Amino acid sequence: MDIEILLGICITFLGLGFILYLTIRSRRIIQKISSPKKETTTRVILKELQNGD
Amino acid sequence: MAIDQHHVTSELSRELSLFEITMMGLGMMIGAGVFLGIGNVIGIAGPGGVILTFVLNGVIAIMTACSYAELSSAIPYAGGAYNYTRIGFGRGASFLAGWMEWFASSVAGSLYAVTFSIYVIRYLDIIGILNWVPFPLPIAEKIMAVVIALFFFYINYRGASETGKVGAFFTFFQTLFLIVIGIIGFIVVIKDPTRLQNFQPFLPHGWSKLLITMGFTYVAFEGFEVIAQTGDEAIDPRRNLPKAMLYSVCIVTFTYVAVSFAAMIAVKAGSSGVDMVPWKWIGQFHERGFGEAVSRLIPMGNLLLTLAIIFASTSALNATIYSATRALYAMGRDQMVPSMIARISSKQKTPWVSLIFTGILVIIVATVLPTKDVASSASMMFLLLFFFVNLCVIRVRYHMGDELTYGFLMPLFPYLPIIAIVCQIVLAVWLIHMSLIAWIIAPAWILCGIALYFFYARTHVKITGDEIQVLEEEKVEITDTSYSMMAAVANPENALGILQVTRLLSQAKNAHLELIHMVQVPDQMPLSDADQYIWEGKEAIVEVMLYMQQYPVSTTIRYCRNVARGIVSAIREKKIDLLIMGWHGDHQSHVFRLGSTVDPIIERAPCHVIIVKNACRKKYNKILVPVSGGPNSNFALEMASILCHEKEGKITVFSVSTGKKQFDVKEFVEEQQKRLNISNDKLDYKQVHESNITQCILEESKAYDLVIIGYTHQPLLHQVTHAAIPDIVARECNTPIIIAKGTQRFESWFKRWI
Repeated sequence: MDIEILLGICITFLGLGFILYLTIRSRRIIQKISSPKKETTTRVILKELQNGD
Repeated sequence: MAIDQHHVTSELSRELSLFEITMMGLGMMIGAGVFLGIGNVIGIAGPGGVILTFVLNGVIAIMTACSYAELSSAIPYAGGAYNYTRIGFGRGASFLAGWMEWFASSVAGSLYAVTFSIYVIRYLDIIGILNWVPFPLPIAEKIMAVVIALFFFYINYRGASETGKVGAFFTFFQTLFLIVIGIIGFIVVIKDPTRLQNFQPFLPHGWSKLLITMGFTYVAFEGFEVIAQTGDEAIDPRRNLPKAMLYSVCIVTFTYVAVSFAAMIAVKAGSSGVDMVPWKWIGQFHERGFGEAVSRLIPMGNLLLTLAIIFASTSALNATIYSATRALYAMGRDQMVPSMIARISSKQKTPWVSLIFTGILVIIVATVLPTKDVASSASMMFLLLFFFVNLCVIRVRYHMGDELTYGFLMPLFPYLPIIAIVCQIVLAVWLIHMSLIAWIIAPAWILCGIALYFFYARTHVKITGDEIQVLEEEKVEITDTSYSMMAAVANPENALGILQVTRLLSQAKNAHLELIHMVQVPDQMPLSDADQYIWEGKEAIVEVMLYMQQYPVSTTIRYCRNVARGIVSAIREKKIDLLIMGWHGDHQSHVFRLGSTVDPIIERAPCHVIIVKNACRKKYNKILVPVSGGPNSNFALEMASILCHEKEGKITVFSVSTGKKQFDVKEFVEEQQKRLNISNDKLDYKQVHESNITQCILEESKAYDLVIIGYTHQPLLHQVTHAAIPDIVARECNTPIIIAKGTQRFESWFKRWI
């Protein structure tokens, strides 16, 4: 198979994979950020994400 | 939200679900870009190029969508980029963002009108209805574009629009239709694998053409930002707006890739009417290439595609006119443009003046410019607008992350927005190869905007509630000094606490001193009430002035919504080299390392910072400087050399080794001695081996008058959330303590700009 086609296929799958990964990971972050009544500034959220809360 | 005189609040009811707002974003994106773009892209970049164009654009778009998602979760009100830039960069940037957004949306509207007309005229021509038309088809297309644009302007003027649910289902079926085309393409390939040869040569004109096609088709990914406009009407906006933006970009990218693949394999080489390689055959039709390909893929392809495009382009056109009109209306409402633009029709309750201006722009662009230049202009302006928003997300998180309530924080921050910024600049620059006209129009429009801001908007714009305002200011003329210090005073007690340190440093550096007091005004309180709270600050400043009469001292009292932000803003404005603040030492929050005001200032101030706890003496005889070799140790030692008693004072550099990594404290001391010109009898060092560094420093500090410790080094834009050794020592130490944070030249420059 032509190297150009191979590279193109790799880039296509990597690109689509990255988009899917980002979407799924972002959704998980949104789910993890709990109740809106709780303080959710960047500092609080980063601490929760780092602690795996 | 409106507040009437009886304090009854009214607001839009939240009825838009996640599905509806996602479809709104999808509907805007699948408007024209893909239908017009595929044929052109195949002709320029080849069969492989069309797939890679949409994949790579999708990657850049998802990064920008993450920025929009984060900003919309923290600022979930209608306004989009206009709002975000106002909060992030101030009025001037906000004006430019609104100006660009108005133009980008209007030109996108032109593109949707043109797409509609091209495909409708094409279909009517195919079925033979247009034989009687006395002028060429391109002119018929322009006339049709004007007619459809005027029709939707009338719809918008009347205020009639399809409800969220109906629009959502139309978009759902449009998307489904495109996905079905993609699936049919895959089925055809499974049945006839020879069609895969259509992808050879994969990139006939090379990889460089990808940059051109990516820039040209980027408009196919604009649309998710309209979701930000639904902030006032969406259910649970802090969570649903980010989800909708990301889902819509993800779905649309997969759809475009599938549809591009299907278009490429739709044409069988050597079949009737195909007298060249398939990619060239499709490419020769330019904007109509996609239609020609699909007509060979599915029965009644022409009719079905025309119907799909009618729905897609008209709903996108309707939404774009609404979005563009709203952008201009918002600027008129805030008096950034003449307020008559914000006039509302008493009968229809719609902004008719901004509709007229938007209509004029849409029609001029649709009729005067060739399609390729319309698409390129729209793409260029969106690239520049999104570049702005990516910058904004970094700045807003950095400056206001502690004040806003976020429903989403993007992963891989700040790498995603930085990569998106670089890619968008590259694509915008490369567009010059596709359309020189776009490259003239876009900068000319921006320059017009800048001129309009400086000659009109700057003096007319309404002040918003979150701006920092100067209440009182007394300036002293600065002579013979290039070093500026700022002392932040909260109250008379706090002011006296930092007085001695301020005097000593001021003298040593021959500095000009700025005393600042920030009056924090809660969000609920109007800014006009702020001056009733300035007396405590004034008293504090007067106390300090009594002891500082022989020094050049300026004073300023300002009000703000957030003290840390206000102080950092003042540091930037006055180009301060060193900030001195007091700290009570109480630590009640598990989130902040030292305090909710101190932490953000240390992280963001583009200057050296020293935080003073209980250090009221004139001079110190025994100073302990714990070091670990970090960049702040040097600065801590420099402060120690100034605060140390000239004759009787002694500084001890203290290092605790745990055995893992040996820090050469002797070499450090020798280097610093030369740099700071400290005599041998004044400087000493001590190194011990212990496992518990914090406890060891606390024990050692009992024998000293003052401890000066360097703050933990933080990488740029990185927020350290766990408590470090200096934080714990600062909190628990009973000896007076000073926390010192130095800044490097690049770091200082970066923080001044960001």
